Amino acid sequence: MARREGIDPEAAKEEIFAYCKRKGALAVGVADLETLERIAPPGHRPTDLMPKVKSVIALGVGGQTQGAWALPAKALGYFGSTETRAYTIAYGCAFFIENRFGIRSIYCPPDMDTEAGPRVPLQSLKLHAEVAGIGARSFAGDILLHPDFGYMYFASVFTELELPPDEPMKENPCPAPSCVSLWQKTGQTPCMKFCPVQCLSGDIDEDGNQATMRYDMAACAEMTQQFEAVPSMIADAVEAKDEVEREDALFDADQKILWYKMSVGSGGLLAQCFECMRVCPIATQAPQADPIRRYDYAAEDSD
Amino acid sequence: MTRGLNRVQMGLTEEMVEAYGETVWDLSHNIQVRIGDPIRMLDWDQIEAQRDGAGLADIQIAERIGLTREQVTHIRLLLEHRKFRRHNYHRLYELGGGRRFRAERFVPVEQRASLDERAMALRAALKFDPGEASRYIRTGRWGSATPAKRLRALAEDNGNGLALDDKGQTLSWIEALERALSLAAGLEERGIGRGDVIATDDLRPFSLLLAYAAASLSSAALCPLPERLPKETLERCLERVSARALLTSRSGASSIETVCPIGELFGAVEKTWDHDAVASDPLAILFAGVDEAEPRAVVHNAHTLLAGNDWASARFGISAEDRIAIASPDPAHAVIACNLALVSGAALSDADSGATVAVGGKLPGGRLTLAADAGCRVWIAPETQIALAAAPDAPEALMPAPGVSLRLASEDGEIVGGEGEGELELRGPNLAPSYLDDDAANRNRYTGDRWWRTGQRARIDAAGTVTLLGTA
Repeated sequence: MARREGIDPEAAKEEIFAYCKRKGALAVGVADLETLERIAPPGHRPTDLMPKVKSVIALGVGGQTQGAWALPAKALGYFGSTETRAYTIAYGCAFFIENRFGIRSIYCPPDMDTEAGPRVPLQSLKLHAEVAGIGARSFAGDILLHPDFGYMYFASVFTELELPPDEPMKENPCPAPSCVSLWQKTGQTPCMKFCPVQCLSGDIDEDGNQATMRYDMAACAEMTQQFEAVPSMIADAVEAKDEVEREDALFDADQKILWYKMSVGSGGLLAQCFECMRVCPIATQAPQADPIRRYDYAAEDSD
Repeated sequence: MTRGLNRVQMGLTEEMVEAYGETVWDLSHNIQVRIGDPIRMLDWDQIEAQRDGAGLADIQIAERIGLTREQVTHIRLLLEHRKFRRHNYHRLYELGGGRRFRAERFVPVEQRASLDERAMALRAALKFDPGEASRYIRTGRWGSATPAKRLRALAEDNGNGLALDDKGQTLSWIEALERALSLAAGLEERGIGRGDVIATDDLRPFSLLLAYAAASLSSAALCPLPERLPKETLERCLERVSARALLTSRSGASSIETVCPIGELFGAVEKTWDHDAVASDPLAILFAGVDEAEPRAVVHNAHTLLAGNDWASARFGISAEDRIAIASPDPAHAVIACNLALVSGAALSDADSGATVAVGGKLPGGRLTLAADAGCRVWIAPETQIALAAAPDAPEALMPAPGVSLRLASEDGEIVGGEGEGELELRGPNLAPSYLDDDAANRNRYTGDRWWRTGQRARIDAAGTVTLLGTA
């Protein structure tokens, strides 16, 4: 791989963004590396993964179709699979940078830190995207929201190519005005009210901005990280006092479906709960949250 | 193991998990609190000030509290397992498609009612032969009908039609449904519902039909008992089935929790009543040999109670124009009368209110008597609904009800065959499959291949006609 000489960082950034958008990214940004290094805890900083990283590129893709929001929750649980599109673009982008500029790049694994268990990622893609200015933290457990695209799936690319960073978003679209109204009446926004385990709470200041966001991630995990039940299920089977109890521990629908999901590598094994996003006006009704409307916007832009 | 180390290698004790666990938990990202929007605003003072709230990495927690990183990671992971409530995931099954979680309406799965040991024992008595069960379902003899569903259908199709006429007290089918729902609600207010047994010695039409439908609505079992049983016998029967309530007009009849006339139990129906018995729910318990020292409790579900009643109703020409009276003190006959009313739409009435059909005995002026020894002959026992019935135009010629199989056994238990003389054995869709908690009776009265020994001697001719010859 030969490094291309005389790379113009601005032009390179434009080329990279164009590549990502051509492949389906809705939003792309470059996070300031120094900011990430200061905020991320030790072991989870970009340089912990790629020591000579110079830039972190964050990108987001759209989620499900509008119709999906009306599905039963157990079916909606399988709709997280558009995230793979984000990873595909990020993978391609890393190759694109290496091919185009001759500079080492990686697709940042969205996966968990193998030394720390299933609730600690190697890197926070959320932090990358927030610092890159393509999402802002919401009341819904800090899920990032975008004023135009609503709810996105994020992926990151690390590169040794130095690119000019973007800035975080100037405004946070959360809470939406209707959410502020509901909170003023009931003390809860829709995401708080309809969370099945009531893992969200918070306060809104007099200007209608988030004052405090409280998130019981452990409770959320009970809805979204079903794979964590697998060891307990096996323990139940081992400790069962008789065959009937053992059969129930291993072979009822709840248990067997876990094996199914694991064996097919189903995305339905994690992040299965969408109830906070289902009722979020930004996630579901942002101007370009609807893929069809995005198409119209794109057509208008090209005119 | 964390980073390949076990607890002994890490020097981690359960006491340490207990001592430091909650601190590790609170500092970890399992609980997150954010004030304002410091990262987006790049407010460095606040970013630093809120690190604890945002959740620390294990290595940061270790530095804070003086443990090793491995110890912290292991403690955190243990707590993530121990605090994980697997049942919460099931909440998703009730959401979506327009349904949202409502904290004020939700009852966690683990707090939902479950059946006690006694209720499970009742269910265990519903031990059907799998081949027979399959045949009855395939041939449509068993379905999803219940007494409550029948009542709802009558209320919908013939709501103003006469359902009950009991000494001048009349109810339409709509009113009967409303009263049955009210009774179910009243029972629920007293904590009586699914899996419980409601006994009654009030076999008057009004009380019995409403109690029967309410039991169905409550997924409870109704145990109708003969009226005016001696107190000792009554108590023995109630204890035998672990009855929670006794509907009776006799004050002080029993020492069980709820003893009162049916009229005291009507309650307010404050919600849409959306449950009903299913096939796994015992729906009626009838006693055989109630006067004997060891009466046998016969457990029926909706399948065995309702199978064949459509056929019987059609065979005897019973229609909504009829009035069915209970003309026998035998609760088995009373339940048959209820079932015939529910499948035909005929009113259930007392004997003096112009009854046209009498079940279990003769009535003056009626057009049809269904009894073992008079009028149009039927053969009924607590173990089975109408198992044998004669045609109205040939009242002596008993034939098996649809789906009922007959055979004869000699005195030494050998199967004689399909015709000849011997003890009548039968099986069919309306036969209870066993006696409650009674190994001896189950061994003596049911064959190994699930036929029931009726205790009746019978002759079956080549045409399949049955003549009962007396007790075997």
